[in-house]
Amino acid sequence: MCLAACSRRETPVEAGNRAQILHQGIATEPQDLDPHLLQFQSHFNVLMALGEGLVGYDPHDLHPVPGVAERWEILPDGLVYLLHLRADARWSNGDAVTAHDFVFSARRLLSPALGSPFRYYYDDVRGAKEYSAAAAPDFSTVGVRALDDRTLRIELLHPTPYFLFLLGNWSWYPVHRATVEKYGRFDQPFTDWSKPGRFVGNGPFTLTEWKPGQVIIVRRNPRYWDAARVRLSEIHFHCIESSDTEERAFRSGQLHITENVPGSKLRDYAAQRPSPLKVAPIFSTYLYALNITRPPFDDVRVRRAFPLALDRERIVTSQIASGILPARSFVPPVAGYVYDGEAGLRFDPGEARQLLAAAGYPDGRGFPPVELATNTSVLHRELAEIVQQMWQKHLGVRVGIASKESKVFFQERMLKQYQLSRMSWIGDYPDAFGFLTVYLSDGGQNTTGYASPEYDRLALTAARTLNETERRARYREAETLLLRDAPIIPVFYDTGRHLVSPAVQGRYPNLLEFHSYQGLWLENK
Amino acid sequence: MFHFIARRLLQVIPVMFVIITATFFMVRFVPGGPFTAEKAIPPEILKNLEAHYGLDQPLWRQYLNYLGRVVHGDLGPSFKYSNRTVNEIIAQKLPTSLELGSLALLVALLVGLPLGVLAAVRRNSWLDYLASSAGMLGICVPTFVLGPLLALSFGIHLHWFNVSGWSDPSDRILPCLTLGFVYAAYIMRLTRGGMLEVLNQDYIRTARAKGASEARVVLQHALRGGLLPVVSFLGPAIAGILTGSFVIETIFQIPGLGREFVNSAFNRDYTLVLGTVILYAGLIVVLNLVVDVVQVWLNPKLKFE
Repeated sequence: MCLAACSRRETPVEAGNRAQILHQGIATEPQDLDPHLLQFQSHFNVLMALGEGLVGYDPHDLHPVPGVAERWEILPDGLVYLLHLRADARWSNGDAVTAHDFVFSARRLLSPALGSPFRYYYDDVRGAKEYSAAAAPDFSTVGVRALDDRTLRIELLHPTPYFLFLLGNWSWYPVHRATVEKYGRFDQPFTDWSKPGRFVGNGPFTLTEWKPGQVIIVRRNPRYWDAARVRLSEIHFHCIESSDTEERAFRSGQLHITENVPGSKLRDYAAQRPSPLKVAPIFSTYLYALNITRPPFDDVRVRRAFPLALDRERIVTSQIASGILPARSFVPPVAGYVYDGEAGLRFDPGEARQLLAAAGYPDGRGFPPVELATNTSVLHRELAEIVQQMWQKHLGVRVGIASKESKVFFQERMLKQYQLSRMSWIGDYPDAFGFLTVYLSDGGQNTTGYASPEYDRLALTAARTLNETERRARYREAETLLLRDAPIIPVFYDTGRHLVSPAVQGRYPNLLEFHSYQGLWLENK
Repeated sequence: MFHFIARRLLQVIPVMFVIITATFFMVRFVPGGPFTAEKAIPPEILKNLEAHYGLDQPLWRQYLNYLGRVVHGDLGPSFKYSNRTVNEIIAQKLPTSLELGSLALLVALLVGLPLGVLAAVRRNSWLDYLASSAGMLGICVPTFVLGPLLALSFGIHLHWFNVSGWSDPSDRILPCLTLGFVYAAYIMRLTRGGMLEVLNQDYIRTARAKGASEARVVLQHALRGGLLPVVSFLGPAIAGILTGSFVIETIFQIPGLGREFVNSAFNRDYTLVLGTVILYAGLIVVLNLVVDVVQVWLNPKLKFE
């Protein structure tokens, strides 16, 4: 075996280029391939191969393009969507994909027993919240209705400018009713319907094999309505948790695309010409959350002083190869919205010291000990140390760093058992509300204790304004208020970092890293 | 011997009971739970999930339910891999760890034993110095250094082997060599030490005086006694090596049980933690018994009393 192996072999990437088999790393293994119970956004890559929503996304800028729905109408009040499904949409077993499948899927996702974490994608649909909270047991009160096999009517509570985008999200993916019900109740979580040999999907690929802890293999679905455009014959999704192992697998020709790049390798890859390192902005902000229910951060002057004492340009320079940009606000630039209001984040240590003195801590004297909590990671630790030095130098305050095991860290943050806590936020949809929704008073992810009726009013009004210019202006007002109240300290806008083989064609960077496989192919370079 | 083994096996019951009880409560008192995540789950969904897994019941009842299930061989559903049971996960992943461990053990024994014997027989010769240095190096160089070095040389530069995965038969070579070399180093040093002690015994001198050949003295008379420290070491070592190595499985992306053993604790996958601990503890208990039996067989001074 050893002797047979001891010769230069064709690598999986080389063989894949010949046979149009893409090898992609997806880091962690999905818990399940049930689209209604997805765990990590990165697993959406697998689901995009296996399923398709009413709309798809343009690979360049993510604007909604026809998916199962070949066209749609939005009534002038913005409250009713009529979606016309294509006649040739098929499940992988040959059944037709109908509007009734989408109604069944909505009923399943919203059912209290399923416990899907993605119900909030339906929050704007009339009656959805009540049904999912079991307050209204009759699904007919929910605004999702099949007018006939090929027409779906969705009624909203209020105008939602980004709603069409949500229809392409995995939470709106249809599931095959007969298959789901064959292996359990329709609203029973974690049944066996999504295992290989049973899974029925409506995407460009079908599930062929799943070797636990190793690889998920999908093969081209000849019944997919747009099969002629699909050039890949197979995709092998490799579950490689360690980014170092994944990087070695890429270098040895086992992977076309990696999910991550180890921080220690970024500079080397960035220096290569041509470089397989692909760095592009994503819809994500790295920040520190403040617990404003406890001293010293219950004082807005202290909260405003801390962000002013951060030299973000220096922080970004320390991570130069990662392509990150200094945060000027909470919401990264998105779909024409760039925050340019008066509360934009800047470095002004003089003003920071004045604010701290006004709060009763001149030159940091008498400031209580503060702890900055991060989850265990070299990157988080390094950044925390840089920030710690800046606050010591510019404010004269001592900040301790506590690296905590992830589950402990998340639990303490959720229970507000912290003072300063590292956080990243990734928007689910390319609209500023994907960020601003976090700090609504009743926001499930708002762990700071921030509750401002004025902010809620501004953010919600903006999110329901159809006119683009007006909406952006209102988002700006909401964000100005948030930055002034300062329950958070945005640090930088993050980037997606992947190693991509030059053989991969038709893959474009985009804010949410949604890469459909229909237009992707491999070519020896 | 039968009574000895039967008595020892009966002792397993209270030992396992204590281990299960201690692990059950320890893992439950660690902060964070299986559903704690960066993006918090809405409270009503958390309630549903807890009800689905029976976590809404009082702890003592959960404990009794679990004990009842374990008695029937059911280790419960995994919290992380929602549609798989712990029994299924162990059944899927243990064979991989067993294969990796057995091959690594073979490497360790094939390299460690002869080197240890040679080093003892040629004491203070260049061969001894070479073997001892190699042994010291093997102990000092951790697997997380040796593994990537082998991957770099034979995977990335020479393209002889894959650097991750467990599909092709040749995927076994690098991880088994990495894991095997470390154990080989220990086995070599223990064999050398054991042999040196035995080679100074009177009965060896007697054997030589009676004209027995050197090979016969070493292999027939000395080796049996010289291996005693190795056998003592191999009991728990085999349990560890067979239930998987977290480091090796992570470096080479091997779908074995070692990673699950460690990750289940990070994931707060209560049932998987307990399942892997039960398996590991069971293996240790059984292998320690095997070690005791083998030691009696190797050492005529010992009896099954």
